[in-house]
Amino acid sequence: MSWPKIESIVESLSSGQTTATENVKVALSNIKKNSQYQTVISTLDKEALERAKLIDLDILNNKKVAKLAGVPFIAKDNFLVFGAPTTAASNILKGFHAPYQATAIDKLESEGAICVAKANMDAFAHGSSTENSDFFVTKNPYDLERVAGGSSGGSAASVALDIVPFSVGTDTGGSIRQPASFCNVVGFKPSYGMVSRSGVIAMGSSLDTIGTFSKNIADTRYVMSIISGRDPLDSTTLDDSFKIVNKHQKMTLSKIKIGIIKEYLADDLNPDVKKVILSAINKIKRMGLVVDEVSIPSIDLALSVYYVLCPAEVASNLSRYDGQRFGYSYLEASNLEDSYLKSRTIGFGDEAKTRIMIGSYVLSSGYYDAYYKKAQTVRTKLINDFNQVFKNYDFLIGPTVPDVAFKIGEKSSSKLEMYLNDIMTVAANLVGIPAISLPAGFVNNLPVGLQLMGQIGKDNQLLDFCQEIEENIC
Amino acid sequence: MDKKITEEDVIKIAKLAKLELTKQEISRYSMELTEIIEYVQKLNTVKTTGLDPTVSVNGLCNISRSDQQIDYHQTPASLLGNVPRVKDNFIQVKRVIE
Amino acid sequence: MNQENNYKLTIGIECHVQLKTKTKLFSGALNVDDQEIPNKDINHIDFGLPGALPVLNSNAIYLASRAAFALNSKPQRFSKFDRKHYFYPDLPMGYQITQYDQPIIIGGYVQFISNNKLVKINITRAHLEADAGKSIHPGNKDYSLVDLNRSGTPLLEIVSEPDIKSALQARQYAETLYLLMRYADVTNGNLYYGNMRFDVNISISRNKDLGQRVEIKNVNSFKSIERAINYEYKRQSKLLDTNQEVRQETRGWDDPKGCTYSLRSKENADDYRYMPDPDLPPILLDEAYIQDVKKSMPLMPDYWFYKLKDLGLDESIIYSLLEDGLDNDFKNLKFIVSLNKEEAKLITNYIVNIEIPLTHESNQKILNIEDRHKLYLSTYSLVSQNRINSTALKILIKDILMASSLPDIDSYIKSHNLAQNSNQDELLEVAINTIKNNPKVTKDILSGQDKAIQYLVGQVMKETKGQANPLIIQDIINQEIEKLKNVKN
Repeated sequence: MSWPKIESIVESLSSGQTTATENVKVALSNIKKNSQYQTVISTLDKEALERAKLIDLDILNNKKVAKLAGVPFIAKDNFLVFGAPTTAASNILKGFHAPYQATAIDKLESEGAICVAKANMDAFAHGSSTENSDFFVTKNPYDLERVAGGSSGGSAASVALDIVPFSVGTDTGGSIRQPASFCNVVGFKPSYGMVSRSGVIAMGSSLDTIGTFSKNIADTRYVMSIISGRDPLDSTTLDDSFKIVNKHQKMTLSKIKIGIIKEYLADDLNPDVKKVILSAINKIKRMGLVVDEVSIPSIDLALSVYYVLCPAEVASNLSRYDGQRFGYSYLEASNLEDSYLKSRTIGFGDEAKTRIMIGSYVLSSGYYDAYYKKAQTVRTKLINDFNQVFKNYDFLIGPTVPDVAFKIGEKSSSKLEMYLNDIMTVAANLVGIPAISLPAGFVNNLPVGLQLMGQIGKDNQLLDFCQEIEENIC
Repeated sequence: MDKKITEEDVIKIAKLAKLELTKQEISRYSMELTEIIEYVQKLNTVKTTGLDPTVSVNGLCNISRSDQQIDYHQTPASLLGNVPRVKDNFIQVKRVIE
Repeated sequence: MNQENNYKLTIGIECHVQLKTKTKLFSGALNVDDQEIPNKDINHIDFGLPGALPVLNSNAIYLASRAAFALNSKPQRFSKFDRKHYFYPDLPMGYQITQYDQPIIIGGYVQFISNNKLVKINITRAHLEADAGKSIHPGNKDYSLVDLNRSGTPLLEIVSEPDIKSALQARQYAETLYLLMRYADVTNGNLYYGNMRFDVNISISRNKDLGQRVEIKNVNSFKSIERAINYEYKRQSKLLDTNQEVRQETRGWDDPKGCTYSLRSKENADDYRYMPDPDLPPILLDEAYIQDVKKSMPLMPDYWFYKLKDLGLDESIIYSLLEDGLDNDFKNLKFIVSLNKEEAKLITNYIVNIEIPLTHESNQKILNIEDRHKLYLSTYSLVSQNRINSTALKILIKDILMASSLPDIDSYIKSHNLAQNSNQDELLEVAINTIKNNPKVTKDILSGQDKAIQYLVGQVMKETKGQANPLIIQDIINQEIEKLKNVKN
């Protein structure tokens, strides 16, 4: 079976056509059926069924049906979830049990949603293919020999494979949009601060955002309206006046102006992908709105800025994994220094180490101004340039990724080549704006994603517009 | 400007970051880091006079809480539950030598 | 000879002041000093669990702003938090959240009188930071134990310029800082719990150039500061005298042994890889907030110091009164500055020598402050009218201070035989005679058997038929015995 829209799932539940227990069982059996794709690291069979039972009981007793009652979902393994191991796909967190829970998970659970599994990912979200998972590689639903993308590859593939109606992931430099593009689902990265980061394992704290994978905009909106909002546990969350609402606001399309980011259509773009993107943009044009090419020259610097700031924050955030209080600990150490060295060296995978090394280098004495501070200043320039463009345009449009899903192992030889995969997604994280990847078509049966970006805090408008696109051209 | 990250640099950084690297790793990181640091060199060609570094991307400031005790619903036992070695409620670690 | 004439001594002090917030700097766990159960007042934030985020305690900003005014400065409009990275078992996140290049306080000064001269020590900066946990190292074991109760406690680190020129000045600086922070009401100032901890940077040199800098870490009493500096001065002078090099290093202070010891050399300077903390948006204080804090500040010790000085009081008395002000909401100070010079001289004497020691006795109830002031004023008139002698007065004040309410002074004097005795000379004569007539008892007293005095008191009482107050008699006998002692010596 295929999952209907989330609101219909909840309706079927309240009308007694199905039960939460049934939903959970379906989701769990979907995971088993699709095991060759290796989308999840762990399942919460017992906990999920217990929660489902309670929800079914509530419905039997005619209690108010919560907004996500009995809707199963999968969380990326960097969300702390009660009753489940949380590893961030890293050996250093093997066996770690969360004594507290992510705010986003709390909000979903309090509306009756049920977490059935933890999705595979690149360890600590470092990567664009889940090949950096310390455990296994998630396969692309459209081609088992190809990657699902990353870092939220497991979350994206789970929705693409219809295992669950929605999943949650994190996006620091494209980790939601890129796998969404590779897996043909809607992947939404909200404004920085729209969803609380509390209880989500940090990667680059000034870039990390929490978002969703789903099949359509309505479901994206429905789930985002529940998890967004100010959280007293996260000082960087936006005021509730920016909160995403579950209400589509009709737009006067003729008044909308869209900018195609010229730099994203340059030579690096796979020509077949370009065709798909331009054809999608043409369809949008036909909706009767203004579409112009715009240039943001400093966008070419985004990846450089990103690969200074992100590793610096990664190196800092991974300092707490030292083998002394949780996670992997080298117990045979001869002394404290040995315990630190061995716990971290054995516990972290290669990519984490690489990023820790880059980050420690750019923060080290004598280099801070040249790299970290300079990058944060260029970031200001990038923000200013985006603001300038947003004075004349409501939304920006372009491809999500320069190419379709690549083959497993294809890009393992060079780190830099792998990093270039993020070239079209990192800017939105640096600028803090909402961005989304929508299914746009195929190249040789492999999905292509169309990326749209809105202004910071105007997530509702971006979703309104995406809804129009979905209704008009899909 | 020569931005080669030498093996000595790698050894120094690894020490700061508490990572133990093999000889091969040191040489590989020296190459990989050099490649990435060379790539980001273009930042140094950008004029940024009059611009401040970004400190808060969504413009927030003065976010604080009132000075009240918060019950996070955690017990010391649940926190210490993940600690590799606990002794009399203390976290036990290899001896700190000053 | 003053040893400090040989080498020029240059001292700078970093003082960690623990702020008296109810909860920690970045979490809602209690900020307490006396938690006996390890790892009790902690949560995912203090524990540095994955996904935990700091949330700033607004009261810490308020208290730091008060401290700014106490330091003759004002809080910065813009400040932010940074991460300082190093690995240590009691630093759960692998970094300390502190303020690096844009702290909440920049500039300011502290001043005090030293050797009759006004000394002004400039303040470089003061920044907010979260304290680390505590490590203990049990003897003969291959492990250390970590308690994170202190992890995340709010500290204000006050950094002085190297303006301090002697060990005495260093101690006075610390004492003044203590008073300032207590007056600003930003800390409990309990030194036993390490509410104020001092890192002393010291260098000595023959000429104008600064010598090699040695840091003495974690000195936590005023006296120790002075002792530690004197010790270091001697140690370093000896090295220089014999043309040896002073190593740039961090040293610890062993208080019982009275010496410093090497902790680690600073040759391999730590690389803390500072970066702004992306989890904490910056602090932007508006002028209205800053002015509100300013208006809420009490009168500071400097103000009272000069007021009391104008009354002709000694510095030692003044410092006692300044400290005492903290215990009674400055009511004694306000009372004293309303007096004239003569009243002030006598009454501050009662306060410093009778009242303050009484207030420091545990479980000692004391008359309420308004009645205390009434008592002092009425006793002043008794003295000026010569109706009571000084011994009797001390007895009277102490007794009444311990009473539950203020009695009628006149009848109290009568009923307790405390009036100035017209035949005081007669009483003295009886006492002298009693001592003379009891040579054995007197000898016992002189050899240290103080209790034997009671026998003599009894004899005098008998002789004067109970007309005199026994405490006065005892006082007279004591004075005579003292005289005899002096003769013997």
